[in-house]
Amino acid sequence: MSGKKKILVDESEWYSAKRAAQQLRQVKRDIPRLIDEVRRATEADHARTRAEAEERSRRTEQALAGLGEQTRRLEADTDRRLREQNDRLRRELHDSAERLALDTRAQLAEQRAALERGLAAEGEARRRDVAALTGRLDDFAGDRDRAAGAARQWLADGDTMAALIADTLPHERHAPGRLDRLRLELATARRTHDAGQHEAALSGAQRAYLDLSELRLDIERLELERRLAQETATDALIMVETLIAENAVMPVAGPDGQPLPGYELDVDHWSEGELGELRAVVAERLTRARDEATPAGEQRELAALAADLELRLREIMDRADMRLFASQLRVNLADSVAQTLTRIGAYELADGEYQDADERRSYHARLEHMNGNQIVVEILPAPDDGTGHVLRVLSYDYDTASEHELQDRIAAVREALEADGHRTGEPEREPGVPEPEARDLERHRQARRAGGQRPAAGGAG
Amino acid sequence: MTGPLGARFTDVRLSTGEPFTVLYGPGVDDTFVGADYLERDLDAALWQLLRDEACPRVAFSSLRRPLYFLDPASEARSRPAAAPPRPPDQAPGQMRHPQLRGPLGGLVVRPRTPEPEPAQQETGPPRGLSDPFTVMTLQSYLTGQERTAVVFTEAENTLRHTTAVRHLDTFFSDWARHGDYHHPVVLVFAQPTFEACEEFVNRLGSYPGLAARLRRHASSRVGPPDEAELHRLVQRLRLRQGLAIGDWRRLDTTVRTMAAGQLNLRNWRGRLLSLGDTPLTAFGGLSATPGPDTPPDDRPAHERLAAMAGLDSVKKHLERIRLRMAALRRLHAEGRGTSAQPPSPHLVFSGPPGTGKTTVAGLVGEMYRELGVLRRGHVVTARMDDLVAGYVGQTAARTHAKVDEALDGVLFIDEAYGLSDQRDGFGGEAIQALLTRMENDRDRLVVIVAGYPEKMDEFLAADPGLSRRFAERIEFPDYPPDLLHTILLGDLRDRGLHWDTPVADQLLRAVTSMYDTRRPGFGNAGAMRDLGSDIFTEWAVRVDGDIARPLTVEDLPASVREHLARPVPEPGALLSALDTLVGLDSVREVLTGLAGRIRLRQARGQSVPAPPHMLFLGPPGTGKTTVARAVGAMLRDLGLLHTGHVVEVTRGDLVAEYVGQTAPRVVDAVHRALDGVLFIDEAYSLSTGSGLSGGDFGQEAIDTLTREMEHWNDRLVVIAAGYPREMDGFLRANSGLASRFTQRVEFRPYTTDELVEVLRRTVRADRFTLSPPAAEAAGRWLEERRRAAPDTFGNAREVRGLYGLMEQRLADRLGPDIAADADTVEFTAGDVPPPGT
Repeated sequence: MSGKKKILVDESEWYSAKRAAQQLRQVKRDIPRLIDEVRRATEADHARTRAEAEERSRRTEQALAGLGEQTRRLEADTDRRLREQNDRLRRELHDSAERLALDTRAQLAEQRAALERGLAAEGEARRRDVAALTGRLDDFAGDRDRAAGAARQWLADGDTMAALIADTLPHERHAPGRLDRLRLELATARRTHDAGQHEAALSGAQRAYLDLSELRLDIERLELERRLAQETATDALIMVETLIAENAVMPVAGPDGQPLPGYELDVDHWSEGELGELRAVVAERLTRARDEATPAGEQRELAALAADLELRLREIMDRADMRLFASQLRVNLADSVAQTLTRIGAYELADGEYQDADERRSYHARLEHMNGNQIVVEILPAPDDGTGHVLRVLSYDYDTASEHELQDRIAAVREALEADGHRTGEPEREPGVPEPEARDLERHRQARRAGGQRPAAGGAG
Repeated sequence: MTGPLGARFTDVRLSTGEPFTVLYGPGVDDTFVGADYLERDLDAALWQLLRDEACPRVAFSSLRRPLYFLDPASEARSRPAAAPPRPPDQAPGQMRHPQLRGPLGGLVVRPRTPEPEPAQQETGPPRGLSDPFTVMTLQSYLTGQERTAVVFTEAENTLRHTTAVRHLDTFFSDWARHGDYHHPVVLVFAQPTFEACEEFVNRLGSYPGLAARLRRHASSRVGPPDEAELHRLVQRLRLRQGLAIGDWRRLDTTVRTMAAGQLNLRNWRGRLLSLGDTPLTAFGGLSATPGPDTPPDDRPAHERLAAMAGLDSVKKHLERIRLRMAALRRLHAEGRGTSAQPPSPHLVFSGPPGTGKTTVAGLVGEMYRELGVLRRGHVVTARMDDLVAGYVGQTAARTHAKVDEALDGVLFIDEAYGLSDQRDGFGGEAIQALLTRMENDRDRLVVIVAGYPEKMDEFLAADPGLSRRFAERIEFPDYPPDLLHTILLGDLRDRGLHWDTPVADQLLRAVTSMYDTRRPGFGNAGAMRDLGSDIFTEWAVRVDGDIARPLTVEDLPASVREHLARPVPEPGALLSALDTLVGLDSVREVLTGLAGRIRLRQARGQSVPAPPHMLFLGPPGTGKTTVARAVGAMLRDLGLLHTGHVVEVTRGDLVAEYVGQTAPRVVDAVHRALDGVLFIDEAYSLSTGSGLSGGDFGQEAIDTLTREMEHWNDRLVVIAAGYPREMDGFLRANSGLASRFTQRVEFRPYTTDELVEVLRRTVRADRFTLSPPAAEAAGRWLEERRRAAPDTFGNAREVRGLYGLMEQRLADRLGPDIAADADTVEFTAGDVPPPGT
């Protein structure tokens, strides 16, 4: 008679200890190197942005040179302030190493606050300049020719500004239709001028110009905001991408916490492809972040979600690490049981293999007694990454072994496991007789060869 | 031949053709120094033996180590063919099986409970093969083709404490039924005897299959080391540990003393190593039994025997045996005379206690060893209690145990007749067991039985096997007085007493007298030691603390002082006891003549004749018993008898109803009467029954009596009394009887006047008087009695009857006025009953 017995080996204590050790170990974040990495990856983006800004600046300057003296001064002041603000913000928000170390959400909040501060300061300066400019309209009262000349100047400046906006700024993205509307107002003022109503035309042309100037400013500000959000999102996602790349293969810490030379943790393998999935998600989001069309709000959302991705990465790494150790633990347990059966039963270990020769699966060991009896020990991973193993003991006796004897044996196995420090549950009897093919461990190797799977050595170096 | 493992394994056979082989004895815990001078424990020795018996695999099992091997080959043969070789050691932090690989190779990721240290393993709970698996494994060995020996060391522990009793029982039963006992299964018991092993297994009750198949012939005893092995131990320690020998000439003697100690080799090693720089031969404490350290005697046993005081006949006898055996050895050495049956080496020591039988047995053992008859020659003394048990089935076990102890030496059974006395009990069982072992172990066992000569006759007669094997009988006489005297003085000296020459002389006289009057069972040396103890007590009481005072004759116990010479009484006083008796003139005449003859011989310094046996012939009531007492006293006073007491017996005391009981009764009566008088009243009745029916044992009594009279010629007077006519029949019953009764004393019937005189004296003794008319009336009454029944007339007895009647009548006459203080009261004629009543 042969028997099937099952013992639950509870390893929750070991798991807790292992988890506690993992808490101490963070995802590899070598900040200066990471920043270099991110900078290297974002360098092209930044260069492109810088080139665009310079081009716009040149063309703006060129356009502004065509403005009347008064407006030229106004716009030059505004432009200078804008550039100053832009530079300051970039410096504040990007250019220090500490910034990158900060949480993306915090970065975003600070960004918004800084923009609002700049906006408030800029608004005040412009109100002063525009008041000074418009205040002199009264000088043209009663002088039609001067009024007509002034109107013509404003209309020309308005055309210049409209052309500048249309040529250099993404007005349709940030203020769709506003330029067209202001061009209509400008055309109306021109017709009024052509009709000889010079004073009315002066007022209309002046208002249209100022609205165009305002529009330029708004678009510049929104573009700045979008660009900042994009950079933040891109940085964050590149950071995650870099982390994934850097942590895809990890050193393995031994029981003493020190790295085990010659062994690596292939996170994607041990996470059963979870890392690959994460990598795909990051790539897709990065594409979106890099897309200029992606609005600031979405960029901010992408940036904010990057933190969650990093968390997920950490979980995947932990899981992979745990599974690697659990796999090793299964062999350890097989070793322990084999030793036990050798010691208490004079059985000798004959063979050992993972199911399908895949280290992530159950471990099977076959023991033989010199009287021909065999015992197959199967250590199954607990379902759902639980904290225990299921130990199945399959007895193949050539001579007669009573149920009583089998119970004695399994009790002896259990006793020895307990003595070895494993917490075990009551042995359970499984229905049926052990499957004869369970003794054939070679079939697992054949299955792997036939399947052409990845070699089972989970990173043995 | 002694094998390389030494003599202790010479007879050990482990392939016995039986399912189980048992090893037992005091040596199973010992170590052994073989001919190669290597020291082995029993496991190693058994391994060697089993290897020599062509067992390529030897597996050992004990409770603490359920399965172990002494050689890698055996271990390798005990593993499945598929199993890869075992790594030498497990690296720290690595799995035990290097062929098991995980993602981290052989790493153990889970810290294991630390393995116990080997030292802890000894004391901690056993952590080895579990018992059911052990049995399964052992079973597989026995079903395999390859010849495998399974040795259960410490079998008691395994049998008693295994958790797989059922499996083990099945294992034994299956193997016992197997029929082809190709694989030796050896059980080692720390029991003294095979029977104790059997009993142990039987008592457990859990292994019927084993119990039923234990066989003595499939068992071997491992004893203590012999001289040769101890020699090897000494040499080994000398070379390895620097043991100093000292005087090499005395080494043999020293080792011989050690071998006699029966200690284990292990004990000896410890003792010898504790010597330090003390040379071995200068070390006193070699005797296994604690006691005063006496330097070992270097002389051969026969020389030491020759130097013993006394025992001349014993020495002579043993010297003959020695020379005979030495001759045999020489002949055998030349290959001659080997086919002849060698003489039995077993001996009977017959003699009283305290005559040095135990000492001589020890020397015989040594002598046999020197002659090469025995390997060790030690002596194991056994008494009946050591051999016979109180319950069925235990006796043989006890006997075997003692025999086992004595193997290669001498089993000395003191008072061996106790076994044959007990034939209805378990003594016979012991005798049978003893005979079996004497046959089976004839080259390793010499038995000496000892006891009183007559008793030993009975013992040897109890079984024909006994008389055949105990062919040599050595008589140990009682120690002569001078030797007893020496022993007594030695004992007193040992007690710290001192004395002068006259006291010593007195002691010699007392001892001589004690010797002369000794009875069967006289304790010889033991009696002297007892006497020494008594004398010491008397002395201590007398001196009352003043221990400087010497011993004096006063300190002899009263019973001993009697042995000192008494003054010879005057001739007239010799028979004074008869003076008061009426009408014994002829008797007095005969006795006076006898006394005169003896005195004459004494006065002339001639040898005094033995005291004569006498026939007292006469009707009842004529004073025969009284005279017998007087004769005893007279012969004592004349110095012919020591005590002169009278033991009175009749047929009823001597003749029993069943076979075999009569002779002992007679002997007992004779022994009680020694140094005095055995008075057999109505002796003729002993012979009267013999003609009537075959079931009567009177004849046996007479024959025994005749023999005893011959034996105790000078220390016993038998007086046979009875009617003259019937006594003739008695004397004819045994041809030797008549000639032994040299004195015939006729007691004639009393005349009426004499009878009245007897009455008068009797009355007077009770402070009465007899008036002349009363005397006449009494005479008439007595005459009438004699006339009415002349054959049964009781003479003086009739007077006692009459006196009783007269007292009764006197009392009636006096009524209540009996004056207690009245000086004399007179019987009147009226107090005498009328004749015929």
